Amino acid sequence: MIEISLNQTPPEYRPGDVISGRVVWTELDEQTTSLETRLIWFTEGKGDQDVGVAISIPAKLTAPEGNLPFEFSAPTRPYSFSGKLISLIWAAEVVLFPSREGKRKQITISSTGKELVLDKSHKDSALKSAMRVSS
Amino acid sequence: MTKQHSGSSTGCGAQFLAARENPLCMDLVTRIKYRFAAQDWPWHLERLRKLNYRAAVVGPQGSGKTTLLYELLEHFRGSGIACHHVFLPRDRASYPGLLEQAFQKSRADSILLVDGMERLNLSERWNLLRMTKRGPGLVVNRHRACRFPQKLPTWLKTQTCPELMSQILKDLNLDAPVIQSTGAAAFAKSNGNIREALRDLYDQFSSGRFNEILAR
Repeated sequence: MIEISLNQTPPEYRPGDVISGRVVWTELDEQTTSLETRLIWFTEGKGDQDVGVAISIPAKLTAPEGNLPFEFSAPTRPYSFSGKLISLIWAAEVVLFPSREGKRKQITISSTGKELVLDKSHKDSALKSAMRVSS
Repeated sequence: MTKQHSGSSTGCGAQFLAARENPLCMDLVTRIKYRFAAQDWPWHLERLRKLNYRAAVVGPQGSGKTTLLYELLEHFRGSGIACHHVFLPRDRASYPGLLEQAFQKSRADSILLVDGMERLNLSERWNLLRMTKRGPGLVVNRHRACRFPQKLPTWLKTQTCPELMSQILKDLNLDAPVIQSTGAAAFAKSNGNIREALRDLYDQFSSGRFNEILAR
């Protein structure tokens, strides 16, 4: 069994903030040889999914039980956002190898720490804000 | 396949449902399993084996051909059968590379699964059949049965019906009568194309129409 936890609640971060937490594993089978702790983003919505790995920290497993702290620096882009058609979601995740089983905790990254909401009323300003950071 | 909905989106009012909360977002829709009209996977796999793994999945758009092919890929991989999946996109620029890679895999004893055979022109189709003739297998998706069934017999015909649409919505925990009736209307409007019907429903969810139901 594998779990991932974050030190900060709510998990809202600004670019440059430290995203820290801990990975805990118990009763892993002998075939599991390594794990990776990652900071990823992915999209959800009407179209095909897209995924990006911002930071990846591999680690070899030497015991069936253990824990490992992790620390990432929150990237400057892209911001977490949601519209009708697409949401961009950041997450800290841990993946076991070779099974590729894992756990994930969603977070938000933006200038305010909150997810940008692209509804009609402030779509333009929110989008411009996200674009400025991305460019 | 469950997902909790806040029902009121990300603080943007009842008129809006964030994409990540939409119960018909791609992540959830792609988890829907193919449903056979009759028999089960072992039976159909045995039939495919008797066809020497050389066959076509035939059906109209949005009837589950791609879903079926992906599940077949999982079954092959789970059984240790070497296979290679090729998805032919609408952008034809990538075809030569994709097909060349596919032929190499076929020569390396992998069963080829080709999604979107109708996107190939006649000469490319002929080439595909010829190049894979001595390989371990070729399973393709196409809208119509092969003109030369002795070369590529039909393994399965995919089809849809209103009951299937209803069951898919139930699988997505969308059992409310108003959602079911809207789904039935979308199914009829799309002429039985379930993919289109689900996309239509996605838009209706994103407009916030069903937020109250999701919040219950």
